[in-house]
Amino acid sequence: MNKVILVVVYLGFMGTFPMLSHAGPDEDLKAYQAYFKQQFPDFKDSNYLMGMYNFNDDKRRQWEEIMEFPPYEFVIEKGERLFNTPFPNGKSYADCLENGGTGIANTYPRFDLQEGRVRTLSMELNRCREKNGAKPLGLLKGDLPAILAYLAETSRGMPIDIQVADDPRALAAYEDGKRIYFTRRGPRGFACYHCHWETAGRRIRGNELSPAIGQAANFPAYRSKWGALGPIQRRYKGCMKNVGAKPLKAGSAGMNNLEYFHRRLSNGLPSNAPAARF
Amino acid sequence: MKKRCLACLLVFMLPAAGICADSATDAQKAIAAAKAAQKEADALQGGWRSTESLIKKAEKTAAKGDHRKALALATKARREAGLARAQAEHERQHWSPPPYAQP
Ligand code: HEC
Repeated sequence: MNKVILVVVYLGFMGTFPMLSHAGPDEDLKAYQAYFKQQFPDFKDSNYLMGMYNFNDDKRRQWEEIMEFPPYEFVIEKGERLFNTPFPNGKSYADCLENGGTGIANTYPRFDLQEGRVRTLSMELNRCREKNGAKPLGLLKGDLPAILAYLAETSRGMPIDIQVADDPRALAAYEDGKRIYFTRRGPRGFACYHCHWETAGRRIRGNELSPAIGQAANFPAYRSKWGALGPIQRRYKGCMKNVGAKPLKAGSAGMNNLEYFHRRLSNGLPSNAPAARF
Repeated sequence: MKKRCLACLLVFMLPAAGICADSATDAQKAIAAAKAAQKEADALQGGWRSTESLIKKAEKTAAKGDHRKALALATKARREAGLARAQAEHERQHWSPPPYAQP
């Protein structure tokens, strides 16, 4: 009799606890999308991809002018050249990547079940270089972002599709990225969501703020301010610095987990990278 | 007469030199302490940029020989690093998505 009660109680817990305390990444995403749907009821996919340019007509016009001759075009070409240049041993990047690298950028970062950690596309490229006797490239500037731009171009229009495998380590990496995203940092205690959720669409120091959903579908992006094309971690560093925090290191576990979480916010939107930004 | 004067001078200068040496080591100690505190904040991903500049300023000021000011800057940096660490520790415990970002 006691045993029966125990089993019943146990089953009861099994049924309710996971729903109460452990909503997973899918439930998260639904809640996030509902929030922005409520904030911006008229937004279509194209609006989410337009970021801050939704909210200021002058800037949108300027941006549309830039887009007539997108500044990232020559970077894509450079990236393609680099990508197709074989290593001294005759192997190439394409040999290291699924589907030869075509149409996969929209699925990164991924969780590597063998290594038990998040892998960005940049890491994938550097790993390929090392495997073939070449030195790894810098993550934020130069040739590596150019190759990213080319690979992103081959998956333009394909839906962002960041998967959190049903694995406790993948879930932990996702949760770590989420923690970093919702953590207050810097002297004034700003977290990402203060600006890109609560204040999305409004101005801060002369800038309209883009909603969190859609941002990551545009990266890597050519930024006029940088005079260069850069990966999303460079942008994260900029926002961290702007709130007075020492930015996390590019390529660190924390930064990669943040990218994993943040990019997943754009799941389902068509990839729009590379894009152009002021 | 001259000798007396020199002796006088020496008597007055020795403690001054002593103070100088003391404040120099105090400043160096304070800078080291600030750096250690900043490291702790960094380890929690919580360091602030302003602390970084205070530490750099303290080092520059000390190198120029203004040890009192260097000590003040380093002390401020250490205090700030403490705040950053406290913030980071608090966030580790209490971070949470706002209600509207919860399923
Ligand atoms: C104090 C406000 C503020 C905070 C906090 C903040 N950002 Fe930003 N962020 C901005 C501004 C301003 C811009 C430029 C305008 C825009 O595109 O939203 C921007 C732009 C971005 C962009 C580029 C969007 C695009 O379409 O080009 C990304 C990505 C981004 N932020 C991510 C983050 C992340 C991740 C965090 C937390 C680590 C964060 N931001 C915290 C203000 C902020």
